[in-house]
Amino acid sequence: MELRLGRLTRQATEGNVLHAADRRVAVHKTVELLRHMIGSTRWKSAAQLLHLLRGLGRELHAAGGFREPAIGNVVRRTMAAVREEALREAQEEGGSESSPGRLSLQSMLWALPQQHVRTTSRSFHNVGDHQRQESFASEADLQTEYPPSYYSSRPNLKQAVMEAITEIFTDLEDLHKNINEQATNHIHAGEVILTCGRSKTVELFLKAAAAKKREFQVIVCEGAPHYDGHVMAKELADAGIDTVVIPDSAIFAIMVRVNKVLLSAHAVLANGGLVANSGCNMVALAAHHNSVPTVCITGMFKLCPMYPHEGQDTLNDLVSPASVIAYAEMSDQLLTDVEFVNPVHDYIKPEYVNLYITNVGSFQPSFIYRLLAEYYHTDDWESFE
Amino acid sequence: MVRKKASSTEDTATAATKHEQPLQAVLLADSFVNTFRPLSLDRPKMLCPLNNVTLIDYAVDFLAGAGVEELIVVCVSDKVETHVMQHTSLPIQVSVIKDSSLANAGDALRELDKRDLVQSDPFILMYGDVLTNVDVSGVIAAHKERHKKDRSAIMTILLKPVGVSDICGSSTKYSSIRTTTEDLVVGIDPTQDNRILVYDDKSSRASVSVPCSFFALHPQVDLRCDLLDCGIDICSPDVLARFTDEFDYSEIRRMFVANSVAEEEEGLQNKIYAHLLAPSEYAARVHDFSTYHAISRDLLRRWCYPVVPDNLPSGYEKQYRYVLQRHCMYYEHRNGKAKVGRSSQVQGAGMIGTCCCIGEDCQINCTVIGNHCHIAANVNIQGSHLWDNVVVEEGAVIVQSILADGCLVKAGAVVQRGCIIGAGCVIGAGCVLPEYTRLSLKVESDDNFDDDWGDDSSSEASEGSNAKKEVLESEAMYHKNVVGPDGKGIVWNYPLDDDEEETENLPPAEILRAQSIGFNPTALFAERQKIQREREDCFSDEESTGNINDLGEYDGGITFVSDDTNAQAASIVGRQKGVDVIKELKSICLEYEPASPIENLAIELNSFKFSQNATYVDCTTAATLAILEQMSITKDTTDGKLVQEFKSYLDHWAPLLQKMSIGLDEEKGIVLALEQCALESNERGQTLSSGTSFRFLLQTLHDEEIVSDEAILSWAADRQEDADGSRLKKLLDLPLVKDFLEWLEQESEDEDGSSEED
Repeated sequence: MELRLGRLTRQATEGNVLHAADRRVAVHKTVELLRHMIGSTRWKSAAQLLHLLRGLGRELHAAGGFREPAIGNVVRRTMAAVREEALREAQEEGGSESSPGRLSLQSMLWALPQQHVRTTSRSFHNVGDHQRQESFASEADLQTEYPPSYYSSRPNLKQAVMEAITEIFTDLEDLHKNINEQATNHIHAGEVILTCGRSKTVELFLKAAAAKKREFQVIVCEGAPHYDGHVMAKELADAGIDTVVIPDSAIFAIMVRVNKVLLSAHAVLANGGLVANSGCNMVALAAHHNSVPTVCITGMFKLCPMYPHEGQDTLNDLVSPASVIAYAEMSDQLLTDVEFVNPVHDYIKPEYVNLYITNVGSFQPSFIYRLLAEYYHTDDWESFE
Repeated sequence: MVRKKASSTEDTATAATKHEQPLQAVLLADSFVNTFRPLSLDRPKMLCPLNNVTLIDYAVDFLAGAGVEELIVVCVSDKVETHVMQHTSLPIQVSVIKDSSLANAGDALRELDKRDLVQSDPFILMYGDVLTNVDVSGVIAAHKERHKKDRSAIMTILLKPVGVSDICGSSTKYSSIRTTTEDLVVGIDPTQDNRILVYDDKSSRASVSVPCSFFALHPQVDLRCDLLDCGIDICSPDVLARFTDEFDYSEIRRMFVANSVAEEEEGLQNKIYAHLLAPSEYAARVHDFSTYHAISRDLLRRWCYPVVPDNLPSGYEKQYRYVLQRHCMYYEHRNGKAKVGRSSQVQGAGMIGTCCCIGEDCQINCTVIGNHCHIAANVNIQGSHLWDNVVVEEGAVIVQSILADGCLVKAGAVVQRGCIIGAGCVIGAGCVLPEYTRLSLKVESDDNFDDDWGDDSSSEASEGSNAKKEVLESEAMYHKNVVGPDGKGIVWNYPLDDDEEETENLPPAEILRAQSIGFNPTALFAERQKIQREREDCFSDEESTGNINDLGEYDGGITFVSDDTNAQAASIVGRQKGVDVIKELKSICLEYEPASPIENLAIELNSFKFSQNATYVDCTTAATLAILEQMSITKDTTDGKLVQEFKSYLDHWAPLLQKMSIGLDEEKGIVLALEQCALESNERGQTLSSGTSFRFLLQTLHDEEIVSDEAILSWAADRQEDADGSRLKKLLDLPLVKDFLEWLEQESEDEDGSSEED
């Protein structure tokens, strides 16, 4: 199972063309695997389950070659669901706690310092011997990690968690439907839309708009050196959309005529920044210069609780230079002396993204932190590396 | 929704393939060559680290990722067996066949056939030292399709275009992932699914021979020398059976493939196809140290993505985690990042393993450093490979070398380019190692000496018992003049009794160099080109056909022939030039002994006729000339006597002449031969032409039913057309001949008339 998943993500990143559909398959498999593991493994308390999920998250992340953030996101979301269920049941039992489970901006603000204290104490633990803690995970370690209510045995928890996972499933299945419902709100008659590279989400979004009899023109940047823009343009033209392909060098010149820029996402970061196909940063900068709105279309499973500390290297990957130059043309000396850099992604600052259209609605980048709090528990924010 | 669809199609797919065997792969975990000496004395080549990952793990991981469900590892050494069994955490079925009696790849395949383990059709046959990111699923599907249509399509070889080796000025443009000692030429027919028609990797040969019959069947044959054999094949199980049939095949490439593709007989053919890799795909074999270095560099430069150091094969990701930094530098992060002195410069493409320590003021370029290495201050390392636990002391210089586990380079020592230093060796302080030195602590045991395959097995077997003895001996055996007084190490030399005639007659030292890092092959290529050009010239003198590329030479051949004296004879296709067929045939007739039956002569004439592409006309002409030559014709010979003698000869010769006279032309040939004799200016000619003898001989031929009316009349008609008074017409003008002809004409008319009446 793990292997198959790894192969899937590898296939998805191989060939330099990232198909959103493939990634969704990988996410699907992850959720399936989680359900299988939760169903088949013996666990009594929420703490044990969370521990299991964290270990699983690490393995899956490694199987995905550390370059598929969506896998970690799904695991985190499941963990958040477990926490929520555990908390709710505890409240029902005790019935004394006054604050309801529903989060509000205000409650988050006052809740944060407490959580902060807890995480620092735990990270102190980790400094000691990370490896040992992971492998042995003695009861003593567990005792301090979670609130005491997590340790009581809860027979109802399994069913509740399964329901939560089913919910994630339906979310994923209705992803495009929910996104595409908003198509006519954003694409208006006679508009000129610019998009870069290939993306299944953007493609379906545009097709949905066209299906509702909106007349518009799409300009596709070819996305050198992978040229997945060509594939995208063909798909759109086949659907009867007025499509124009331009070389990447013409992006700035043509931006004056463009009404809206649509981008896809590899990941959406905690600060509202976007990791997209390489070349998209140039598009976003050109759009910003011409005050053209830049809109990103993405499913919520790409939302990562992670900050871009590494700038352009965040979640980036360098692939084979073969798409830039053929290996057969390289002599021994050239191979040693010349360095080819062929990144697949670009980081775009939140200032240059105007709107995120997701399956749960449209948001501004400044609102992303709020979504994060809703989707994941702050204790699970740590990466699975 | 989408998920359901996907799973349902998957279900139907599995249902369809349920009765089929799961995909199997055979991994040849021994290279059966000794290019990795002396490092392979310490451990098998397959277990050497490449970029801090054991070589064979790359191949295993690739096969698991390619959808192989059952992996069969064939190995010679125990170490490989234990490694594979212990280290593969993959959820695929792995079985190891360990047999230390296997001497070559052919033996390994025969052993597999004997055990009947390979069931899947097709299976993947791969060498354990291959690194690749190829997507084989398409190739397997194509192979299946071909094999279904044609049972003799049993193998598909993966080839990667890597560019042509060429000398431009002082530098050479060549691909460093192919070995310098071999020069592969592959002939493929792109119109027939890239079927391989020629496979030749012997660099010493100047020409490649292609059977002519291939050109009849294949309108296009591409001869390519820019391809690299990746060492990955998609085979049907028949291949194993073929190896059992051909019990002396030892190598897969040089013997099986080369002979199979050269087979002309349609029924005996094993068809082998080529699959050319897409530009984005990478595959290469670690043949020797120079390819080891090149492949390491390509991996660091991410040509083989996703096989890159920050994406380790499965099993490693739990232990190590490499992080890519600028200029293709990879640092291990999980267990402890390397401590690098602030004033040191470490430049990519390179890699530094777990818990390394690098001092101040070091210059380290393009170097792969293993785990737990210690490098002191002021060290200069360029383009080298340091395996685990290597210690380099202050001020040492290492250039383009490989230092195996636990080496110690003492202060101020210099390791020059192309050196290979075996595990545990010590280079003494201030010592300067000459270029291309190969050191080891172990010596090859004698029984292993002429075995050019046993990387490890026999040396290993003796290792246990001799270990103590070796240690005792070794102190005395160290070459102190090379490694310094405080050093340890024995210089390893190329075994001299090893007669490898294929490697273009190079001296062993040169082969060693060519297989080392940092070797500049310009001179080697220049030499090779020189050989090939020279021989090509001789080749064009001999025969002008066969060389498809060079049209100019072909034209030259034609003109050369046409200015020959007997243009007519020479212009006939298939005839040796300068051969007078009639003369030859006549001499055959003259050599014939009248006692033996005339049929023998007929066979002899026939065979010569075929060999020179002659006609029956030539034969009859020659035979007539021979008869006349044998006859004793002088001035005194009377007509009666002449006819009598001629008749007696004809009694014997008639069956031959009649047999060969299949048409008018042959009969006319006889008459012309007679005429030729009569026109000669010697005594015989005068005799024949002067009196009535010509007429009588003609009549005799006619009477004996050797020559028909039509033949004589048509000869006469030919001569009639000639100008009056010419030499040829002289015979016709003889009154008696005229009478005879008139009589013939009348007779034939009568015959015609009578036949009409009937």
